[in-house]
Amino acid sequence: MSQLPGTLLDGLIRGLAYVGIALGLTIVFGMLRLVNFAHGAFYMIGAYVGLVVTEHLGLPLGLIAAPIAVAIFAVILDFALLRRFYDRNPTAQILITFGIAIVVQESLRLIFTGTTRSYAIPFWLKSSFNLGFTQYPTYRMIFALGIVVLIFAVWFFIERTNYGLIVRAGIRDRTMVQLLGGNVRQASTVIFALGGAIAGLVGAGASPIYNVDPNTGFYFLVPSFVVIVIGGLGSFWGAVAGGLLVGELQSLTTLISAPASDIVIYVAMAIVLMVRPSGLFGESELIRG
Amino acid sequence: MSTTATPATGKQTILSVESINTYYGDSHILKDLDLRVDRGETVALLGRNGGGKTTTLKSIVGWVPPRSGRVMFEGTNIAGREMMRNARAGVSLVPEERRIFTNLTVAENLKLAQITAARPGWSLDEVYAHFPRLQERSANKGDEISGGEKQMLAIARALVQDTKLLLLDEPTEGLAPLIVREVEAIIREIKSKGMTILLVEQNFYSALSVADRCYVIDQGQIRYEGTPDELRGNTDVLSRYLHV
Repeated sequence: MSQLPGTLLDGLIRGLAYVGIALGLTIVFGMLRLVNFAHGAFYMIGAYVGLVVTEHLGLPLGLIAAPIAVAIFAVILDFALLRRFYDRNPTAQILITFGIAIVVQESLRLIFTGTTRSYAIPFWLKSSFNLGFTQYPTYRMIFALGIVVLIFAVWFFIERTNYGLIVRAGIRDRTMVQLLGGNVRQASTVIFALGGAIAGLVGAGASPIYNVDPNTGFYFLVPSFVVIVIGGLGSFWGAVAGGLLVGELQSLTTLISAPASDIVIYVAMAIVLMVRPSGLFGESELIRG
Repeated sequence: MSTTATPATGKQTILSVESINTYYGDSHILKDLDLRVDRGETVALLGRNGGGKTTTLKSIVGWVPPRSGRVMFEGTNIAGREMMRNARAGVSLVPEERRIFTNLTVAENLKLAQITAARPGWSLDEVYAHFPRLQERSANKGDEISGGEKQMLAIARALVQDTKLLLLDEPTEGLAPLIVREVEAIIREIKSKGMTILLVEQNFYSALSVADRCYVIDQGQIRYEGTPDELRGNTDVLSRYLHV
């Protein structure tokens, strides 16, 4: 049981990483009704851009470059391809975004090879922090704090800004927003870029912990989909609660059986869907759902 | 040129719908439809269910763009233009279902309309002075207010924008008689402030009580044009197209 505090903290960190990825998935689904399997590719691009920039210019600039690069990529992708699929059925959306994810993954494998890479982070970040009951790596603590700040920044943007108001209205009734003169297309692009930027930032931020190879995108994407299904598709706080739940479940299961940790989240998802078919936080409502 | 003068009345025409043909898939709904609204006028478009009233409004705003014909608004052909552009030019549709954002509060619904407006219209104070019920309900979500309050909010959303032409689709539909009177009073009030209104109604008596002029539409074509008094006296048109 001496492992328990550390395991719980590991679960929290993993859960927060899921939250970061799931937030982008859920706001994009809420606003664009797009099931985006390319979201893991955004995480990957962020991770690799962060890796290269960190090697040459240090981690802080790596963390700035990653979300910017992914946001630009997301906007280009949206204009060139995805906006033709907004109103298509989910199968078409899954096929096209899954295709994009594979193209990105294999392109990154061509450029960076398949080897696992680790970030060069400053020495002091590699140290441990004494929490009283356990020693815990400093970088992980900073990462957790960063994700919490990110969650509230996204919440503030959606709930407290004028642009967020257009987004919340657009989630409910895109036609009426247009009838009032609102630019739904632009808002959709902004949300898509924002979702991508968040995934890119989390990709660069999480890679010093989990390292990076071309498969990491899917490694995080699949549990993140479980997270938003458990939390309720399109629900903001559902993504937060679902992410933490999935992270802790996985982490705690490793105490009993490491291989079972990959299965337990699907069991949890099945139970939640049986009890509450629309997820823990109900219908797709971005903030208050 | 922003407007054209109508020879018959000498007034400025703000909207002129010219021979539009609108389809839903293969169904031909509007057939060479013409109508005109002058600035400051309240025009009622009357007709039975399925006659093409709502489609006419949707064709004007670009929701269901006509396949042919012109929609001249302030001298510019806006047929087929994006809804957003038409809204920002000053054409406001208050749709039949009201389409209040139920996940937003009353105040947020109004704020949204202010944000998305190209130019401001009424201030929030003016809106609340005319619709005190909306002020009382400002913190309530869109699904927590009554049908009458939803209708008032839907109209108020158009008023906080610089609306030049207000298209009202069945504003009294589904409302209790007392609330219908209230909505009629609001329409008269807006009209007295100089607003141009194109009103679609099934409620014949309600529409004629506020309109200056009316059209009767049936099977996608205008069958009659006249003043409310002329229409009241035309039993043939009343019985044939309106079942009154």
